[in-house]
Amino acid sequence: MAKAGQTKQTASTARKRRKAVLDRKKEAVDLKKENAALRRKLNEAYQQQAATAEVLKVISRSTFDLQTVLDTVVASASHLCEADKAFIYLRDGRGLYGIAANFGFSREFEEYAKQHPIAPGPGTVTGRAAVEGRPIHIHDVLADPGYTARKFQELGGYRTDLAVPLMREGVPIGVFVLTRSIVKPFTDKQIELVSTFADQAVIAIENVRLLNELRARTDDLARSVGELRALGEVSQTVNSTLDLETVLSAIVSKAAQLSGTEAGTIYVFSEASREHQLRATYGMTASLIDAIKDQHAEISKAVALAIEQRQPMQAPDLRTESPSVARDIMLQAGYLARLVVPLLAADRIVGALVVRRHAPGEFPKNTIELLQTFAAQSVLAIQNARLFREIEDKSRQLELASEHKSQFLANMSHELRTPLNAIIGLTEMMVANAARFGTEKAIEPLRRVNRAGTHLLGLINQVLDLSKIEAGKLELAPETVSLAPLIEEVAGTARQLAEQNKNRLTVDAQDNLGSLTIDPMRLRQILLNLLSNACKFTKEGEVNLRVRKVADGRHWVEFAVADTGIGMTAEQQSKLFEEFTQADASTARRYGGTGLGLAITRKLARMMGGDVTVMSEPGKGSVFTLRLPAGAVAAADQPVESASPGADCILVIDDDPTARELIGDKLKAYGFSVVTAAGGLEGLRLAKALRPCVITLDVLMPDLDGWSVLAALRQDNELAEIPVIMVTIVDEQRRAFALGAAGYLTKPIERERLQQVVGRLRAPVAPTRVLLVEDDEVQRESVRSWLGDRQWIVQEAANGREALARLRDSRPDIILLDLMMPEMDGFAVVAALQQESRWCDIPVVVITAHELSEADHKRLNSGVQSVLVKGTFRPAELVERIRRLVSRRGAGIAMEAHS
Amino acid sequence: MTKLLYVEDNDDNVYMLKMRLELLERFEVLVAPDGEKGCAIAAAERPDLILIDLEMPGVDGWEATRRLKANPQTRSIPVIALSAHVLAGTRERALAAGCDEFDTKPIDFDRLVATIERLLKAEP
Repeated sequence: MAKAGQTKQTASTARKRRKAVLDRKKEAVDLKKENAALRRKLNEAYQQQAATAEVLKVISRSTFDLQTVLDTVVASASHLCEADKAFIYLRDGRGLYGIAANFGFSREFEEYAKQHPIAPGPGTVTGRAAVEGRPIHIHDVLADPGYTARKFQELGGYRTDLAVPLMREGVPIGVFVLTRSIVKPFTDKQIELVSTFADQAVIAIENVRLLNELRARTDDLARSVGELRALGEVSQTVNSTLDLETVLSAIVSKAAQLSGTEAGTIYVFSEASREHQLRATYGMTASLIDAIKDQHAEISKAVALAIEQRQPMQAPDLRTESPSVARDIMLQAGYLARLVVPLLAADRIVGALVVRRHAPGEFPKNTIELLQTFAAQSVLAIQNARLFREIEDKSRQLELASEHKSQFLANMSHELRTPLNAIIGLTEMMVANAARFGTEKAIEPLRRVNRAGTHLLGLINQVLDLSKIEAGKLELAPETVSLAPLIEEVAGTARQLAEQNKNRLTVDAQDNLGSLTIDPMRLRQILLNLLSNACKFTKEGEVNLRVRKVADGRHWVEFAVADTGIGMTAEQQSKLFEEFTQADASTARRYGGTGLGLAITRKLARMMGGDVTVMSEPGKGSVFTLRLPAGAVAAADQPVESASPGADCILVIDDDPTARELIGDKLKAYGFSVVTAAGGLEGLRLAKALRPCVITLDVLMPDLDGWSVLAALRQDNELAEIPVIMVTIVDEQRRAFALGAAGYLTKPIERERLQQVVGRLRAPVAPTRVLLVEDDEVQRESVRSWLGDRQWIVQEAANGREALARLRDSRPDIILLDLMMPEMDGFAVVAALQQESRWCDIPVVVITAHELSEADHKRLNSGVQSVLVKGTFRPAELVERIRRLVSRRGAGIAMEAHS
Repeated sequence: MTKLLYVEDNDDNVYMLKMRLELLERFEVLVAPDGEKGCAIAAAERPDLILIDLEMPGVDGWEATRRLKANPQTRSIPVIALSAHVLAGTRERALAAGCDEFDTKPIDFDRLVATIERLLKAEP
């Protein structure tokens, strides 16, 4: 019994054991399954991550290459999502979707897709995704009644279709499509994964787009900069030279270089021969130029066509053009493409710009536009050159005419003088030897014949003078003459004239007139003319000649001839200096005279840099005042206003003394030194002698007009570089610039405009450091304000001690010094400066309230360069003086350095 | 009596100047109408001084003066050029051509006589 019970017990245990084993086995299997699933998941996740990382890596590495990115995206996504095939569509400019990347599809499919871009709409999965902006998933395209892209399906052989739109800022820019050739829908997870890839693709596309845009802009910018630079160079050439060949060569070479062409030519239409002439070439061999010169008629045809159409005409491929000798020459030389840009002015044909390229093809729009700009520059240059030639021709003709006139007058004068010799001689003889000839009773008529003859002779002499002045042939022969004896001599001659009308002649000459550099013969002529007029129109009255030195910013010698005669009305005065005009017609009858004397007098005075003016009242008499520049009045304490040539010197050429003074004063106030010329000829002479940094040039001048002066300056190699500012009442800006003027001003001159124009032309200079030593605050304030609008650094000191302290800090270029100051006066400052070797060469200008005594001068002991008395000088004078002293010192230092 | 030769093509001028000079009663004035004859008379008559107009047809005053100064027989005779030309440089050219003095027409009679006297005095 016990054995049976034992067996039963054993069987139950075994069953239990087996179950446990089975359970464990099952657990193990489950576990294994779980593990496998986990492993799979892990693997998937890893693969996804790896794929995403790969895509990201590709994107970051190949930012420039969209195709690589898209290819990687489609391949990775297909692989991860178990799709057989995949492609990416991108939206084009028309809103259609075209294939951009393909994975797994046949060439045939790709070709078909390329030719049939997809429009947004329900017929395709792509179209639907584009319309709806969300993923579209068709489990079986064959079972979808709305799916109409049968041909795509046939060629692609797919059943399940997934389309994920590529969204940028809510707008589809493409569609990412994955397909399976069996019906097997994508899982949500896979759809999610594809969306991630789609986002990556959008980023990549966006990067590339931005980069391309940036690149395009950079290219545009670089091109613009290049074009601007080239145009700048061309403009510069156009402005700097009037030599047409130079300008056109510059234009054609820049035009060819910038348009990416290898050769270029400019044709200029000749009015004379009615044909286009080759004027400039670029990149062409001499033999090629010769060859096309011979084919003139045919080249002209292309040019004429562009001109007729008034627009650029291109031949992208000469091989397709109708055959001609010219075409064959070009083809042989290897030029396949040609662009002709017409050169057109508003009212005339100018010519054409032609560029030629080896490579065939259309010329880009911006190239054509660029060449049109060059064409406009060429037109300008050609017109300038033409204008200049015309002006040159005219001035040559005028010169010739004036030459003929002078010659005629010289001959005329000779022919008139010969018979006059007999008339004057014989009448003189008959008056002097009346008894011998029995002409006692005919003395009066003989005297009248003689007087008439003498008058005629005077007239001839004056006409000759006038014509010489006008032709610029009258040359002054200046020499340094002592004024006192010259005045004495003139007065002696005039005294006889005065006595004829019982006038009293008095001379009132200032002491120490010194000497004057002037043409003495012409000065005598002027003075005698004024004195004889005064004597003629005054009876039993007084004629006074007063001579003195005056200064109004410049130094002058003034000769005033006053009479107590008949005087003149304002109207009479206004015509007085015109040729062949006297106060009125009856004057000539009553008083004689030619009406040329005053015209000549004024012209001579102006040639000498001065002028003659009149003040008169009818019945009370007249005062004629001659002013001549005392350029060479030699007086030690009055430095002459002769400007040093070079950096700061401006030459003002103007026949109107008021204008000269006005412009000169303004320029001096800006710190320039100014030299003036009263006419074109004198201006040219001074320009050559002084080499000024800038010239201001009046247009209307009697002896040689501004245009001729400008042309002469431009033709002189040594003077051609000097900037010229044209000043005129006539607005002819275009002409001024065409002829090479650097600036332009119209009268009346505005202060700001003048400063602007001159400032622009002038090289910047280092500021001048001025130490102003003055105890009076008000005086300091005004000096500071005078030096305010220039490049000055003004340091101030209220007395001598402060001045020395400032000097120890920094060394000024010049010291302006008051003499009477508390604590330490100006004399002590000068003494201190003299003792210190580093200060003794600083120029000192004393500004004093009183004239200095002899003792004061001794105390200053030549430690002072210049003395100005307060209230007697103008700001411009001070500025000019400072400028001169500072520049003189600069020149001295430079010379030392050389030796 | 001082012997002068006046070379001049203008008849009125000859008439006037010859008469005025002779009225002074110390000059005898010979006359030639052009440079060619002037040179011939100068060589034959050996005047004390020659007055010569510069502008004449045929051999003009310039050429005549050069010939007179090139001929040893007439070289030492002083020559005063007279011209109605007053252009700058005429005087210098006349002196360069060998003239001893230059004066303009219409003549200043007193000045001309003074010049003649001065040149005659300077003669060795």
